[in-house]
Amino acid sequence: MKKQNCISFSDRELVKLSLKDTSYFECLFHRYESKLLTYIKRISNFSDDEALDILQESFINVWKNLNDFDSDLSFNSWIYRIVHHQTISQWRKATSYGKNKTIDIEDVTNLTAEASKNHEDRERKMLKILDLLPEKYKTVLILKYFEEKDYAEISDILKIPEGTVATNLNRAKKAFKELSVKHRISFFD
Amino acid sequence: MNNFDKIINTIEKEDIKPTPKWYFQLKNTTFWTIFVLALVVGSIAFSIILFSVQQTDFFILQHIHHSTTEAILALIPYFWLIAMSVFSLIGFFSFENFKKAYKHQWYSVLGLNVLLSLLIGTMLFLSGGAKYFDETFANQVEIYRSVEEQKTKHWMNPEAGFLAGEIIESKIDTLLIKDFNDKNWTIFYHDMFIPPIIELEKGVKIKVMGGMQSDNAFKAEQIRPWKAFENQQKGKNKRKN
Repeated sequence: MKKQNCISFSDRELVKLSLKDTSYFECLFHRYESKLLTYIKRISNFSDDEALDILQESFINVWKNLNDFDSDLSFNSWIYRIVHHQTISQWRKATSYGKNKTIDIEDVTNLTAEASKNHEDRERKMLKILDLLPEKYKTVLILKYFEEKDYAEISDILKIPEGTVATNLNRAKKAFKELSVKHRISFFD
Repeated sequence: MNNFDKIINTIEKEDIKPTPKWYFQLKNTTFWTIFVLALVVGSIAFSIILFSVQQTDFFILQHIHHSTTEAILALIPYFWLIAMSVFSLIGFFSFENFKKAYKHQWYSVLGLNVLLSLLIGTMLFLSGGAKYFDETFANQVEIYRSVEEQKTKHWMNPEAGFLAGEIIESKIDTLLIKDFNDKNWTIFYHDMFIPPIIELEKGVKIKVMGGMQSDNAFKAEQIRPWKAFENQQKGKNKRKN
């Protein structure tokens, strides 16, 4: 399906149409492909190829569960939830089999020597610090500050109450700040 | 082959179809049904707990000398307490499977579930439903003993100082009663204080605390109506008239 045709449809309409014609499913895929790939890599340390595999598996799950899409929920939150769940379970499997890809503290401190003048460098530094945080703190910070989701959306994606989102976010910010101070990393130089 | 083609190839090759809508609807309906049933059973359990507490003669605790703790433990309606706890948990877990359940803290869901059981249970108890359910359950389940049966068992223990039955003859200082095993007893209650709510008349069911004097004679220390609340009501009505 041509991209121009996709633009005229909302996510909800595309979900309904996908059940009749898979070319509309392609519209959904292309609409979310790039940002979901970025999200997968942000919450895990998977390579590009691994992230793509996870995205494909996630979209197969989306396809299987299209009839369960809840119209009360935004498609954006719903697809993020599926991708999040898929990524975290794959990441846990990968780390439990000894393929622990979390970063060492040394890698983080080495960053202080790196240039951090542009946005990408700063994001890279932040993600390395985030890797040192517990998973629940890391994901909530990424969703809030990298994916720019509000509390309600984060609650829908992580399937936790909004109050818990707020609590986790406060604790995560505190932990992030402590780690930054500990490793003498500044993000605004 | 672009990224989406790989997905479509897998879907076609493995013939993956979207799970039908009815499956999700059935799943939701099942969890709702379990939730409602658990709430109903939890409420019935609580109403029978209230009924059981209402029917319990707590005053006997003062007269049990060997072990008050043991006596208190014997009075607790364990079966219904366990039933209420189990069904509150079943209700909680089925609620947790609702689509929007994650919006609420687990403790508020559990608390609300228990609170609903308490409210509905209290209403059932006040409307007389608890007695009906208790008796129905006793009729349907062989091993289950109703609150009334348990009470009868406790009061049919003259050796321990507890006796109950129906007055068949009333004289000054003595009563002739037929206990629930159809055995006749002479009750001596000379100089004993009798509360005004008790009418020692033929046909009235009473419970007596005291001591066994012989195989068919019992010295009363306290006489109370078998069903306190009914007799209190009768007494009030009589005073009005």
